[in-house]
Amino acid sequence: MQFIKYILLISLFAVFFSCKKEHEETIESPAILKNGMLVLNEGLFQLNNASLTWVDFGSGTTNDQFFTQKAGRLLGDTGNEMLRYGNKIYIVVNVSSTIEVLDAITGNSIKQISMQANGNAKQPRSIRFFGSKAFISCFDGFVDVMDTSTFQVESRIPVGLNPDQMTISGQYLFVSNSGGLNAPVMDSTISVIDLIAKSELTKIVVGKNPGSIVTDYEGDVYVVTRGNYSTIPSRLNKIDQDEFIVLESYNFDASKITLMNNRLLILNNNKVMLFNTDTDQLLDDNFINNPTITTLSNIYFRSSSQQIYLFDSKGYTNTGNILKYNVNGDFLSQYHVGLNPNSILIYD
Amino acid sequence: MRKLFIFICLVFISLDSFSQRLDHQLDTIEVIDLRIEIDNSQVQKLNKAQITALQPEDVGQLLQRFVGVSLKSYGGLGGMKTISVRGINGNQTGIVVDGFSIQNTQTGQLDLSNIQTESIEKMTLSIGGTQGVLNPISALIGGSCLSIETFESNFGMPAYQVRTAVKVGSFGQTDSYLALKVNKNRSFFSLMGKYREAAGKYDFEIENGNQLYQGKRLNNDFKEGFGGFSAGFRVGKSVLRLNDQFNQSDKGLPGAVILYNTISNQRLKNITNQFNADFTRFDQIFPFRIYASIRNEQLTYIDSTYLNTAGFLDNRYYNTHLINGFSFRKLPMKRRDLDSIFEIIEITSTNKSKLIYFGGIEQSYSLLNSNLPAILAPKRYQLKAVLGTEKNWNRSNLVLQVGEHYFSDRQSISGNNVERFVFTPFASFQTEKWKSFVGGLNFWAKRSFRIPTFNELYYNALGNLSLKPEIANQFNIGNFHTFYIHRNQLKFRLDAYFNFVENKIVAIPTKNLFVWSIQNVGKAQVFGVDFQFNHSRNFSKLKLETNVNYSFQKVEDLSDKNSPTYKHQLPYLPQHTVNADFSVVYKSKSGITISGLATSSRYALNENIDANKINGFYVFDASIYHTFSLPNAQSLRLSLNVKNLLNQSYSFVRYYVMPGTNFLISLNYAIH
Repeated sequence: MQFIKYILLISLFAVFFSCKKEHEETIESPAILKNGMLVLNEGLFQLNNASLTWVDFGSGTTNDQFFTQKAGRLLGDTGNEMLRYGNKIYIVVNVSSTIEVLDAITGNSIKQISMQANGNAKQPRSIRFFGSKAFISCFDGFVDVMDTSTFQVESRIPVGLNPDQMTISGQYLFVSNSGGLNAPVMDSTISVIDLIAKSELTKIVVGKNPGSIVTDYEGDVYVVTRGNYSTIPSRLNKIDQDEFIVLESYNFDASKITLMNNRLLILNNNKVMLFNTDTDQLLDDNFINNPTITTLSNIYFRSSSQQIYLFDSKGYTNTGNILKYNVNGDFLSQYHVGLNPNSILIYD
Repeated sequence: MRKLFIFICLVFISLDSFSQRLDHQLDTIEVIDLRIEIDNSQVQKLNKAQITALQPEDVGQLLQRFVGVSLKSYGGLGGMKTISVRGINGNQTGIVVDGFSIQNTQTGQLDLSNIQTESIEKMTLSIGGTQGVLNPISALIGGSCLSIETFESNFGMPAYQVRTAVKVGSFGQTDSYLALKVNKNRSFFSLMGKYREAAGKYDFEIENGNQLYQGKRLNNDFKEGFGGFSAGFRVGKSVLRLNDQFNQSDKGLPGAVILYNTISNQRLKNITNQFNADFTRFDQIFPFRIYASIRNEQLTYIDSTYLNTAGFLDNRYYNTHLINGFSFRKLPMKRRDLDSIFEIIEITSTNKSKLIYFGGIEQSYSLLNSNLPAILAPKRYQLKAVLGTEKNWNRSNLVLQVGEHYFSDRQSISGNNVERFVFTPFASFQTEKWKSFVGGLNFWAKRSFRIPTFNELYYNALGNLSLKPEIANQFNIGNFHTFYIHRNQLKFRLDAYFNFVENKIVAIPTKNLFVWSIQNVGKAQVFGVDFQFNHSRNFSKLKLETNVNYSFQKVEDLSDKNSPTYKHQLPYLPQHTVNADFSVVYKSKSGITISGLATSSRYALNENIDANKINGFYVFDASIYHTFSLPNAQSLRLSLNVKNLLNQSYSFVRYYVMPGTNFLISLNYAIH
């Protein structure tokens, strides 16, 4: 009797919480990509959670399963960059050490290229195109030249330490050699590659830890040197396209840059600054400053629609947002996407 | 230095005044062994027989059998293992081996895969602190305490004792262990050695979208050696023990399974030595203990294909830790240890109304050096003290305790000093039987904390010199009952608890993904239920035993109301965990044990979304053994263990995939 009483007491005392099954609903990916936005979410190191989000502008829905639905498998670990070239989309997956090639019309997977050399991962970081060739910066100190029809790596151009971002000006490819893995002694050079000879022409010494790099419409190159994140500050530098020398280093912090007509949009401490590339003057150090943005991690300008896209990475550990603005810096709309968004492709 | 001097003076002054009284004591309490006495709060135990039946790889694997414990295992087979008890950071769990605490000031948390299980006679986990004269002061003020007693460090009965084991298993596992102990009337000497290795290559299969990703776990080998020496001397009611433990290992670090890239070239090498000494006086008026330890740890992390200028990484860390302490327990009554997870205090003395006093003081120095310019050789001095009282009535017991923890750091290069002080109260009330059908009840409340580690305070750009200790406030209500129905013994224990964690130390990114900062911004609230059930039945030749543990933990992130993760379950803490085992023992010689572990889904990151979800799993192990009796008190035992019986693909940590079905054959020989 005592035993039964005790069991009753225990049953009363024990409050069990039902586990809530809150499965997110599955949305199907469109067969043909239009009126929407494809977003590459970088994910986080060692979690194999790089992903593609399809944002449908018509229905307003977002689908984080785009790549998995199209390819039947996961994208991999740390998706660093996504670019469209012709009718193909190229995705650089750094830790998985692959380049994923998709059909730009349907989003279907065309090819997965494994980027390994001598039993080691090359760790590709970014990609640029010239003629029929893709140039891929690899963290192991090379820029790989890959044919865009055969997907074969034809040669490896040795550059500096841990090459990162790249930009093309005329027949030259400018490569930021970050040396990020050699901290605290980082690299501080830009490799200039002749795209026709496919070899390094020279190295330009800039500040410590060069990263984000763009070419303005006159062909001059701007590069952000990120410093050592403590005693050496980050800086914006201008490089002469012909002389391959640093023309000027501007006295303000910058983390990332992108070109907007004859302006540079500069990320600095969670806000966007505006810089005139004709006069080389800082026009507005508070061009966009949205307090709802937690971690402003990247910026993109779409010239055909004259719209600015800001990437909010929400502390890098929570799923992010993409915010759309017009050229005057007026807020237009916002989309909730995946973990660490870093590249987008817009479809009309 | 001045503090050390004052401390030594204090110890000697107190010894002197008490020794006069000790001389006049004529009581005769037999000191039979040095078992750590544990009472109060919630205590869970595993004894030698249970451990042998489970054939665990390491202490980490054993801990998953305890209720309230969430294990993080980075892939089994030599892989790192850490725990969290009741949703609270594992740094708040003290680890004590034979009465000596093991501490690490660099990361704060010990890798439980480095503690071998072959020598263990008994392992207990007490939540809400622990007591007993043999426990160091640091164990008394921790949020919970894992205590291990080994064969080698305790007095034994026969003149000569030998323990030896040889094992072979899947994935190239071999393991050999030998321990010798000589017991004399007033002393013992023991020696121990153990070596194990594994190739560690195992096949795995994980979900990859709609496909299966198959691979082989590479760079997962390890070699590990242990050595130890112990001696104990007894004169009257005094015991002196000396002990040295050595461990050297070289392990491949396979890392997470990275899709499409199987290359892995990291290794971790470890050399650790800890020397311990203690002097204990068992006495009815004023039992006390003086203890000291010195621990040296050398950790080497190697990445042979790192993409820096040198082309490799070779990071070395040297951590030295010195501890000395004094504890006492004015104990007017004897207690009996019932050796069960449902600890009940038995009061045998007639002198029930008398108060017990206990307490002590412990200080430690630690120093971290490395070959990295970013580590600025921090040094730490810590002073911990406890004072408590215990009152016993016929069927109930009350404990009140206050503790303090002070630390002061110095960095040789920057000259930055960090000083902190924390105060920790503890109160517990326990009744043996309240109403006949309700059984025993206990209530306890404790404030515990973890101090910031060297890494959190000083590491490179990450470190934050203004960090405060992370505080955990724990409240517990427990109920336990034992029934006898015919020949069945049924034991129940149910605990409900509420914990509130303040100043939670979390890493948050600042300017960019490369620069993170460690800050006290976290708050968490834990509501949980622990349930334990044990059934045993004895037949003339057979003994059946069943254990079921269930743990519910709702661990909510309350750090920031505006964050998308507000009120989400913290990463890697499952809401539901069940473990169960069933064993049949025939004539105390042969047996079969089947054990299972099931855990609900967890999240890899703070945000509770499908993309971060790690599926729940269940896994079963089985073992069968037979003991051959040999003449002259010798025994030989043969056992076969099958782990992951159903060949489940599972992981504790996302993409750290655990091995499939694997086997282990063990042969144990002993002279008792």
